[in-house]
Amino acid sequence: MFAVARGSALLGISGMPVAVETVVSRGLPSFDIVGLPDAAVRESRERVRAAVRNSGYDFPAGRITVNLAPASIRKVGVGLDLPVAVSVLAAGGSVIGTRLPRTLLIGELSLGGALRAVRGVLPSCVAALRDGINAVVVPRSNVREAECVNGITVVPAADLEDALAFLRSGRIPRGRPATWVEPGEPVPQSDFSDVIGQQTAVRALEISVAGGHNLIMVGPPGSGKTMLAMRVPSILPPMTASEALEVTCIQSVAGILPRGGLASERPMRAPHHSVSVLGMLGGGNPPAPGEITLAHNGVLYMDEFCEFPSAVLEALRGPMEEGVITVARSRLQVTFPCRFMLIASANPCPCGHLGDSTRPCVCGPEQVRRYRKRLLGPVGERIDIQVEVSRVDHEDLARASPGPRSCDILARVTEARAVQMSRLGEAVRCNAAIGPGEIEKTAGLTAAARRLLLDATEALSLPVRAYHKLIRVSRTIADIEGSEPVLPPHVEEALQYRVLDVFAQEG
Amino acid sequence: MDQFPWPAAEVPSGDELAAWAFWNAVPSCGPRTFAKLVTEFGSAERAAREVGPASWPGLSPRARAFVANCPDPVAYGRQELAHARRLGARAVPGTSHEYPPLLRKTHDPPILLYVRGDRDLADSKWIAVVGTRAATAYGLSVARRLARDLAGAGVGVVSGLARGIDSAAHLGAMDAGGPTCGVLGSGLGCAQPPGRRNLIRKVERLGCVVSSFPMGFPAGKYTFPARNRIISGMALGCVVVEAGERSGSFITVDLALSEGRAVFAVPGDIGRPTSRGTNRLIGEGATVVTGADTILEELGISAASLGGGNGTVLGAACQPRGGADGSLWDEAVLEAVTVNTAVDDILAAVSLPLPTVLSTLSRLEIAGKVRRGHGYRFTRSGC
Repeated sequence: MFAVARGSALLGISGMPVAVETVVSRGLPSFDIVGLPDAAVRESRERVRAAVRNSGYDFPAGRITVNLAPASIRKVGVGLDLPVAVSVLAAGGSVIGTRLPRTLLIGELSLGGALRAVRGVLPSCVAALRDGINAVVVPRSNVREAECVNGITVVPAADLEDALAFLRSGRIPRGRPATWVEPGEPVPQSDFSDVIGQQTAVRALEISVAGGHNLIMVGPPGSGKTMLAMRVPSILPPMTASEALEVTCIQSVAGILPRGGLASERPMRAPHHSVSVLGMLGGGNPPAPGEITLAHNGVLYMDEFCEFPSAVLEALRGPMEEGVITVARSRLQVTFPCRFMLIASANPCPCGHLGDSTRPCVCGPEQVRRYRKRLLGPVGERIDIQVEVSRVDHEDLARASPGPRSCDILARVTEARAVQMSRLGEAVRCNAAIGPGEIEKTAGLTAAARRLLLDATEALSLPVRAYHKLIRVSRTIADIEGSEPVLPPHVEEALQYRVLDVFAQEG
Repeated sequence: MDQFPWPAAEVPSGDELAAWAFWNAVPSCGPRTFAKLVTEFGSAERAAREVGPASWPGLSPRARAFVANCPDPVAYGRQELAHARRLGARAVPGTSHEYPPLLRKTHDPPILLYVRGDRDLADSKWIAVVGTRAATAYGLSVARRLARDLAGAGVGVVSGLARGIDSAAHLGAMDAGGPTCGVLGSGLGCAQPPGRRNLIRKVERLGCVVSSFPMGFPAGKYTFPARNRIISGMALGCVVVEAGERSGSFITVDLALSEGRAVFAVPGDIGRPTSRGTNRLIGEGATVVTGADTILEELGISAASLGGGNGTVLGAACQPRGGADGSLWDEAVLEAVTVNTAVDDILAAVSLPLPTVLSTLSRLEIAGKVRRGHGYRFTRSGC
């Protein structure tokens, strides 16, 4: 007999509906799975056989052939255990019911028949919904994730029996999903009001987040760069629904979905500088998302920027330009999204003390030059804001007033983002993403501002690449200040965030 | 110490000058040996031609070997002079009017200097400003300010063109449009490290660059004391701005003291490694510098007696010109900027929001009224 169940595999971070077809024919007993299953899927056979028997059913006798369609794409993931089991039972003659064609089945089977959680449930449901299903049977731990998708009935199943019960009679088991987590008090985040002094850096971060600009902090060790970076999540604007869905899909596939529900906060990734190109960009077999994808719609923080291997920095250039990374491995080509905001931190020179008023810099000028060239390398090209962070003296610690609160900064940032969204639309979304061709036309500089920009470029010997970046940053500053045109003071402030360019090396 | 016995009263020229250039190039042959030679043979040229065969006992083995290997010493000297001319440099022998008078009076002055740049060395009084290569932002800004004020009073600033304090001193003097002289630790025409080239070019253009070594002679461990001897020798006094405990600046100080010149030191934080040397000097009797006026007073120089340079008037408060666009915040912010003032301090002084202060500072920077240093520290430019 022939039966078909609906399952799903993962292709990158998207779900791919898989039709699990089973045929049981007469002949010596055998059980084969075809359709390019990967190793884990191939091992399903043992799990399915044991689970079926331990659930009290007879495993069909005869030649069993399971085909995972479409047959030419490699199937990755263990969520196919359940549909294989059901398909085999159906093909073997068990009564399954009429719901089978419209129900997505996801789950890993234990040998005893229980269902275990799997990754990628959300993208699978999203893909299957497009395919016309109206119900999904998932392990209990994946229920919150599945519930993020509107328009399908979510059936929590603890074991194979629950799944079959639903398929036969439509009964949805009661009881709370296993890892239900009460949405408790939000964890108090580090706040910018903790920061003493460093007001220029805080302001630069505000501008950076408001416009989505990449930013680099330059300062001696211990000046507080990491402290500032760790407070950035407290001022990141909330995600739109589609952004949240994307992030949840990514986290689901990577297996790092906290609490199982829709992601509520923008991700912040801080890979150590010993990360490999693979770890940063993604790949491997099966292709897994890298740090840049895990930072999609969020922030990638690269501490000690110069310590990252050149290969990694070079490799970032393409994905940062495109916003997606295509990972190819044998015949599998997978595209991951990677639109993130980069925050980098670095020392001002190899010894770290250039400009430090308490310790002298012992680097030769050639060393400093080479070091700075590296800072402005392939990734440095895409950094719009450069800000210096200096050590805070002991006396200042005592007398300084506290900085602005994160909630105040967040309010300004959210306002500015809204303005940009209405001006630029969904496709571009923020000032940092405006292409160099468009920027002069859409920026809205007054004539005085434009003249000032040209004068400054000459007076301060700014390199050409700084010009467009200055316009973008000025535009964001104007948006934060609630100004429609970009005025000279906005350009003047933007000029203070070009420290690496403006620096004339003193002989 | 007795005065150096200059062997001739007239200024050498032609072949005689070429002979001087030759003797300058002979290794292990110092000024005193030269003086003896000329006295014995009558002229540098005759000495050059006749000393080989005569096997004069006063020459060291190295010098003797060099002379022996040189078939035509005067031609060699002419080549040196031609090389100098090609580079736009002039040879200044010890008896020339341009040779710094104070240097002429020292114990062991170089017999010949090669000079590039239009400044006349004898035209100005010179003060040496020296210090460590590994200077902190404090040292750099103090050196620059001092040099600027000295040059503004018409005094020339001489230093060694090295990274750190030397560079800041040269730049400060040039800020004020005043005279500056850089003494090289190598011969002219020698390839300079890439980081030094810009500064050397600037000093050549606005001041002068000097070397006592033969053309193209490379820098080495032993060339720097000789260079320091010239720096301290031509100056009325020597100011050390920042120096660690074992800095090379102490050689310059010792040379200055041995010639009876005044030594000044800039005090610094007791914890700062680069101030340990200078603080020790103060303990040993160097005059404490709190500004350029200390130095000028000690040396008995007044701004009036020098006719001033074309730079700042010593010590006068800088009146900010009215902001170009009449912005009222420009003045308030400019008032708050002194030397290496941090943005946070400016913020505390004026009660304006940060974005306004930042944009005002940019405006002042573009107008050349302030200069930005590392770590968002601003320094007021001269008026």
